[in-house]
Amino acid sequence: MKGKFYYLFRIIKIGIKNIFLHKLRSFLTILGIVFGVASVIAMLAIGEGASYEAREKIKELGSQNIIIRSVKPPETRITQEATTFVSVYGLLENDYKMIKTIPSVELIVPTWEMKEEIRYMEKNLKGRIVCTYPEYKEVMNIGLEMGRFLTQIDVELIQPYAVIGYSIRKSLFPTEDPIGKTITIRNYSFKVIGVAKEKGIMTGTTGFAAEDVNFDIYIPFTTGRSYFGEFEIGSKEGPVMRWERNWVEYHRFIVRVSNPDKILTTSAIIENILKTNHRKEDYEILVPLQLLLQAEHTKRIFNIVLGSIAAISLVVGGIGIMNIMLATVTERTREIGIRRAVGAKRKDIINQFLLETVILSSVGGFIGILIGVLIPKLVTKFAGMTTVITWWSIVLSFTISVGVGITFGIYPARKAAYLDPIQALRYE
Amino acid sequence: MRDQNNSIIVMKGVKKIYDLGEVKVFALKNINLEIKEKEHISIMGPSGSGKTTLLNIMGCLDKPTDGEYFLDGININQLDDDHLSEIRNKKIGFIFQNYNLIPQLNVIENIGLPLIYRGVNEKEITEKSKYYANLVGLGDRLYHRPTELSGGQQQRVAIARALVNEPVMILGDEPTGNLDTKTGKEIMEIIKKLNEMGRTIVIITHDPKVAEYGERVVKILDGEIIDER
Repeated sequence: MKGKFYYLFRIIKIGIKNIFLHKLRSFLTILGIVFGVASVIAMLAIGEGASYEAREKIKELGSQNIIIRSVKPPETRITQEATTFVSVYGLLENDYKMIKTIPSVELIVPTWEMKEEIRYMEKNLKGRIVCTYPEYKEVMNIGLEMGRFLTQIDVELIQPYAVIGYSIRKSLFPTEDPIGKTITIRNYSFKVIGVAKEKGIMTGTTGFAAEDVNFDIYIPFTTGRSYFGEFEIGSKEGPVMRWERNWVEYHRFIVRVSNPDKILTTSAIIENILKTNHRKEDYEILVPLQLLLQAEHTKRIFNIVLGSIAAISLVVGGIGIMNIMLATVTERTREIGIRRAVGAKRKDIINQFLLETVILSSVGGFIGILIGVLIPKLVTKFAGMTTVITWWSIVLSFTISVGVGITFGIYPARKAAYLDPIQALRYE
Repeated sequence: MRDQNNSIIVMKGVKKIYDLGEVKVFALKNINLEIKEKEHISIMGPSGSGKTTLLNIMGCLDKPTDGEYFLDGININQLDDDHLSEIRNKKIGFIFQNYNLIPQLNVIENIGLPLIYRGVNEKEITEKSKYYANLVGLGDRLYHRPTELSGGQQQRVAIARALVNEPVMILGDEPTGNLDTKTGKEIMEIIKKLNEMGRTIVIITHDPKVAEYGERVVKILDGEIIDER
């Protein structure tokens, strides 16, 4: 047992010595493995990051929800000459009533929204005013940092109350307590009753438009309706300055389905209802669960493509190692002859060369891991993408690189072991 | 295991035939040879006489096509590659014309090489290697690489390596072939001394001056022993 240990120690020592004897060559040899391993880890980290982001976004939207959005149809585009134009589109009261009667619909929360300037003292910023109901908090998973959310009574009494998003609080009330303060939206005063917790900002990588709910302000639906009506007014840049007026009854319905299994059938029913009620495609149905399934599917495809690329690069790396080891065997023919003459068995020669290959590929794998961990960090820093380095990708790629070393080391090692010692000794 | 009369080598009708397809080359025709313990024997012959083939068989690097070869009482004919390696490792010490040292290893590592394949521990290898390095007069060159040594010094390393495993026989293949006359003489003196210390020595050479050192000279020509004295 002890003898075995010294033997192993010796051949490892000799192996490392031989690798250091040809530093440049060894380095070039392992380059294939380095790139292979680094690309596996880096690409998996980026892929994992994208899917993590998608999952988070979907969680945010609520996996048990169906979201219906009003969309401005393309044919309502205004002609150049017109200076004012009213476009009528979007979800209607009738849609709301009909969707509500679907048995699997547990909850339906409508919203009406507009982008507007919010002022407090001399400070102001643009935010999204969301006129809605108390249930919005529940279906959209809104947490509160301070104060409270809207209540049914607020809605019934048409209270001028507002719950502000995290970013709005930070800009308008950087130091003071916002609760009870009065903010102004289009000359109407609102009392701040609560502040929502910060929510992650979703980048465009997940297939959704980037939106930052931290700039949202929630007010009672009834208050919004009585103050702002159903018109959305905005100016449009163009050759002629013009005002654009949109008449929209509801901007969004957030529908919670009682049972996750019924989400897809419910969304089909909703689609049918909307199809009969609307002549134009002025709505959009978003099913987070479906998006989740899509994201999973995309991830699977991504992983397969990635796996193939990684496999190819590692095989190429392995062939590179084999090539060099074959050259090494030829170069060291005399040495092999000498070792055989003084009593090395074939097994000893195989062990020595195989170990050398495995050391090479392991070092390559190790460097590859370092680079592979570094790349996602740089991607996160410079491209702002989420990356998640999984421990199993490191274990996997390192195991594969050692495996490649063994696989591609066996042939050269056997070739060395089966040289005729007599001829090997006389090899010049 | 050993014969009663202490024979290290017993060869009976040893033949080596190389089958090259159309022609058969009889490298060794019919060799009968016995070498006793503590003998110093020289095997002489011109190139192509078959003496290298004989050395390969004696050194267990090759097996005879026909006939019997006993080394230290062991029938070599029946052994497989692993066992032949073991025999080389334990029973034979080689000295080659071109020294055959491993360039990456220093003097002490080169000397200790046979012991690695026996699983001897690091400390013992170093001790033994140092002892034999001192014996051949290389005590001050332990950590030099072969390329930093003269031809004579390299051959001394090879001799120390041949001794380190305490073999039953030292097999020299033209040990002075690459050396100048003076150094060659020094090397032969060392070998002579080893014989006096009780080692069995077999030297293969075409140089009569080297052969002179042997107590017995066997002449070989065309694969046959033609003279023995």
